[in-house]
Amino acid sequence: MIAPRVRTRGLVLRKIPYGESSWILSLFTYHLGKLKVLVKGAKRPKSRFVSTFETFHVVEVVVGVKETREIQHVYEARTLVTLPELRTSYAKQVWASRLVRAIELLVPERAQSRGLYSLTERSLFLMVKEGHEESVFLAFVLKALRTLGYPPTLDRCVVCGRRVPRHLSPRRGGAVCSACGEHEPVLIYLPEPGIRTLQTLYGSSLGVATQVPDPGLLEPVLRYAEWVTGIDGLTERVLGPSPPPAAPAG
Amino acid sequence: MWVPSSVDRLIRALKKLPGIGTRTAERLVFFLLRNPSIIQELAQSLDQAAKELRFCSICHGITDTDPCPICQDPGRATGVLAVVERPQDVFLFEKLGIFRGRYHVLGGVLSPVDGIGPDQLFLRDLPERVQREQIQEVILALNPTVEGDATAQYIHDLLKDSGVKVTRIARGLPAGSDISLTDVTTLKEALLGRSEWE
Ligand SMILES: [Zn+2]
Ligand SMILES: [Zn+2]
Repeated sequence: MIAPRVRTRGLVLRKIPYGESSWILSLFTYHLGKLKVLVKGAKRPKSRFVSTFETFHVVEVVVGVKETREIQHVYEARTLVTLPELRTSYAKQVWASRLVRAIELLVPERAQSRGLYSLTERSLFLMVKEGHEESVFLAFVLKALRTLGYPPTLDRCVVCGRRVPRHLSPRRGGAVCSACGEHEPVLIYLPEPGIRTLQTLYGSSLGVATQVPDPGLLEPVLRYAEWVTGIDGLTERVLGPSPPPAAPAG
Repeated sequence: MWVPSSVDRLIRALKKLPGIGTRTAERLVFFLLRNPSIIQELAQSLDQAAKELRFCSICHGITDTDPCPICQDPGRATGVLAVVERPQDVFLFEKLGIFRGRYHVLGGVLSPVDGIGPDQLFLRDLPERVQREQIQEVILALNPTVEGDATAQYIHDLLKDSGVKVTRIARGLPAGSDISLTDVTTLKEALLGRSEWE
């Protein structure tokens, strides 16, 4: 049976060398979610796909989708968006990589989520073009949690409804105040004005994140995401190697 | 199916090599069984390689003496250092026969997606090497990929204060391609047409 062909837009998450000259690509796509495709001979300078699939490129692909196959075939491809800023800044690449790893860990293979795809693409562009990487990334994580079915309550204590929560409780699914937090088995402390910054990032449109100074809350928020989603090692795996202190951002 | 255990072991060992599946491994083993002299030759060279092959402590290339012959050769102290990604890139450039300086093998490129940061590469010793060996020009011969380009930029920034001239091989190579799969002419032109960092 001939596999149905699907034209879709996607982000190149990762390139895995295959044989001497081919790549297996991990893509996150609008219509098909995450999937793996084989691009034969793409490392060869004369391949028609040689410059198409680079990490963090947004591409349009026509993929033959066979349910029984783990790796799909690409019929057509073209690059839609390149992010030249990533070529000149390792620090920016570190942030883009965090986003990629978050997607790899949070999204199950071939689970379609158009909302999450759009959020990912917009977050990547904002980070790369506008800076404020941590704020954008935090907004991305919080909004992704909502899309994945773990919407965090941040504007009041989940338990008593008071408006001065200081902690995140994974068991309660959001913010709790100090008094209510005493009975929680896992409690993640957020320094002031941490919770208010998170409220802003979660409640506003993504673009607002580029006006919010980086609040230094990445670790606690990822820790929270790790608890609610039950994904082991999410925090460490998303953070990965840290940006270098010596080299300035390009 | 019964096979002698030494044959089975050999098949298993061969299958660990890239690009070799069960069928190819079996074919190779049966070929070897018909040609015992090749078995001898292979066994000896593998044994020797296992004992003698190591990484040069200066350039991090593959060698059987440390430092490697290139790092030891005073004739190669031309003040020009080519920074390459993998040890096999050194052989590639040696094959071209037009480069007479020394090498610095990074052992990869910066690729945070794969967990490869500056500490996972031979980057930290580069500025010191440039000083010690009085290098006047560092040629960055890295693949023109997103990762290769960001690594080149990182090295450029790393060497900014050392006063050394940093050049890149020319962009005859399409973005995304791989140096080792480039034809010799294109690579030669790329090396000759290298340009200073803007
Ligand atoms: Zn409360
Ligand atoms: Zn050496």
